[in-house]
Amino acid sequence: MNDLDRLKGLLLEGERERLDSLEQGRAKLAEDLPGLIGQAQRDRPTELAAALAHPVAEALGGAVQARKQQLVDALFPVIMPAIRRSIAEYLRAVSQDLNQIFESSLTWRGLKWRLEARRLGVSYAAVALRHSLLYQVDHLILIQRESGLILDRESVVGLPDLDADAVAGMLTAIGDFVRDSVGAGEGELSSATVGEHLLWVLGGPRANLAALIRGVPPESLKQELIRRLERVHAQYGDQLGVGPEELGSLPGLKDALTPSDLKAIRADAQVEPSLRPVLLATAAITLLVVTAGVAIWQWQQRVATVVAALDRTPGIEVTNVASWAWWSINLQVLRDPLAPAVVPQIQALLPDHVAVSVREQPIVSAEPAIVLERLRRRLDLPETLTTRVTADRLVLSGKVSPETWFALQVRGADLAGGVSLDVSGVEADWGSALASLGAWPKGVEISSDGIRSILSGPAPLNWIEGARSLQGREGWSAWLDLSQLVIDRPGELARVNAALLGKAVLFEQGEAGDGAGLETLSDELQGALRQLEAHGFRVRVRCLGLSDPSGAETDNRRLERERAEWLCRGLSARMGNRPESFWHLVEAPADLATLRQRAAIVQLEWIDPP
Amino acid sequence: MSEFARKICLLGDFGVGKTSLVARYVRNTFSEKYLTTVGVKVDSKEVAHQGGVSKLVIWDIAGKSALDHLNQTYLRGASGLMLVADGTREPTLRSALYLMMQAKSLLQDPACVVLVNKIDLIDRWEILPSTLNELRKTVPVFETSAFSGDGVEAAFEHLAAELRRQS
Repeated sequence: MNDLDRLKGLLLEGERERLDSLEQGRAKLAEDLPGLIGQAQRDRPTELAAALAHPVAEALGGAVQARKQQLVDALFPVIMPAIRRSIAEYLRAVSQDLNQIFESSLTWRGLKWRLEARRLGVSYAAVALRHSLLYQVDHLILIQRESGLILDRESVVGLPDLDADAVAGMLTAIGDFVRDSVGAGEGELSSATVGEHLLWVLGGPRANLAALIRGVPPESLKQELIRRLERVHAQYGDQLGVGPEELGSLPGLKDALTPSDLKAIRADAQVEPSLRPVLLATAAITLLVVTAGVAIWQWQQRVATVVAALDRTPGIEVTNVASWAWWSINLQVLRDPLAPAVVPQIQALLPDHVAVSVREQPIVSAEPAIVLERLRRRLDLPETLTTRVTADRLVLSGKVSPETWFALQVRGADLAGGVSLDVSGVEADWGSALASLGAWPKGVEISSDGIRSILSGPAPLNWIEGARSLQGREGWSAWLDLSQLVIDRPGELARVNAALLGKAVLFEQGEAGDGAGLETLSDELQGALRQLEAHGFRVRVRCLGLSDPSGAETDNRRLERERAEWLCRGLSARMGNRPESFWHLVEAPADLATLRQRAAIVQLEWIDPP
Repeated sequence: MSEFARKICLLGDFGVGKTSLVARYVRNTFSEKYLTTVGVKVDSKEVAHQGGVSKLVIWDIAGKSALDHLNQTYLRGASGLMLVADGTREPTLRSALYLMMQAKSLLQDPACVVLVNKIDLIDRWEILPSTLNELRKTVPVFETSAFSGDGVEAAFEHLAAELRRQS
């Protein structure tokens, strides 16, 4: 040690000792630092936090920039549950909103769900959502995020074959495309609608989970799938990103989506208690009630039809109806004896198996049809009589026998009861009544003064006398006036002459005396004269002689004259007190010349022609 | 699922016949319109080979002479590459080899095969046999025809067997 060193030792000894002490303290700092931090945390936590805040934040920022994936891998299992809880809180809030909406509904199903919610002790919205959101997860595919290769896959049994490898690859490619093109490198393809399926793609650091869902899944399903994806990541971590040749060495990876889990998810959708039995029972009861209602309604229609038909029937009035649908019917009716039978009418309108009983109470109906029937039966009205029912009267018209006409006039109003009977159009058929007298005289006409029938005009004498005889015998005097009938004088004379023509006196050939039939002719002539003269006729007799064609015309004329003279003399002798002028000889007129027989005849002629 | 499927990517210039090759070989789950929209179409195929049966998930990436960012994304996780060239257009072989180099830089030791397509038009080929012989020294080469199907199945079987061998 030279002087300089000794000098340095003297001058710097204290300083060197202090530096050595500092050096030792720095060396022990690493050992003491945890203890010191702990002590500071206990003694001065606020100051320590303030002192470390800035450097720690700087360090984390640097770590995120430098080792982003590791940080994501580390935080994913920690952060996702927190995010999930946040989503769950949000859904609960949505559920409460829905609850308020649903509570305003008072449908039968809403009431049923409300009871179920009360029974289970959960909110009404939860029950409503559970019943409403029906779904089924058809395919669940765990896809390696980098390669798009399938790590595990579960599908519902019985679905059509799905090229899941191609689907997984395309989902990954499309996801990459979306992220690269429209997601600005950050956005993810998370859901899509594929026909009736809903596609969910849940992203993880190393693997994605794709779910092809049919129906409307609840948000809780997504939470369940996220939990499953997190569990896979928690179990395998970075190993999920290795190549396919190494994936096979990962134990249980192919069972990451166990079938039992998938079934459990599907079961959630099917756990919902089925309302089918209740609906079926309700439908059956409703159908039964509707059927019974329809049957009763149809029966009531039938009964109404029966009652209406009976009420429409003249002389029948239904007063009471009691029935057992499609089984029996009991009616109380008022029925005129002239009305149709009731039971056959009812049976014609009802099925055969329906028991029909009728209790009838007889009445005298004032309905026009029954009144008419009553008149027909009581007065023997002919079928030719025309009937017409108006609002207030029964109108009859046509021809009837005088007896019926009289009866209508006398008894009609009584038989009609309260019905107004109009018989002004009914005429007595005098043509038929007087038919026994022979043909109706052409000149006779019938008129009425409102009460009586008046016969007027010329008629043969015997017809007039016959009519008067019938009038007296039948008692028609009050209804038949014959006073205006006059004898048909020309007709009557012609009838007498025709009768006398048939009573010719016949002679032998060439003889003009001792003719045969003079007695008969005399009797006929006297009878005719008595009748005519009794009615004031003034006639005289013309005697006419006839001859046969044989012989000379001159002889024949002589014979004719002689035969006429013989007849006049003979008749005059027999009939006595007739003046000479009563007998009148005439030659046979041309209309009688055609007789050309050996006879003599008489004809009457007017002394004072009408 | 007996084992995990392998992802292979078809790369090649536009019009070399990649899609026709796939159409010849797989059942075509998706429409080809995805090629023009998303830029890729995925199908799957179970391939029987000497080592057994392997499932290949085939990503038919839209034809380009170079990989853009999106196509690079599609390559992720691929175990094999199928480079396709058109024998009648020599530049497409260069594009295929360039794509192979680009893809190999993104993937970890992928199995590769080169398909020179349109052998049914051999009279119009521009690629020389000597070129193919040189190429065969570094990568398996198959002459194929999407039109007749020649060589297609063999190429896929070889790639599947190679992937199985690598595992």
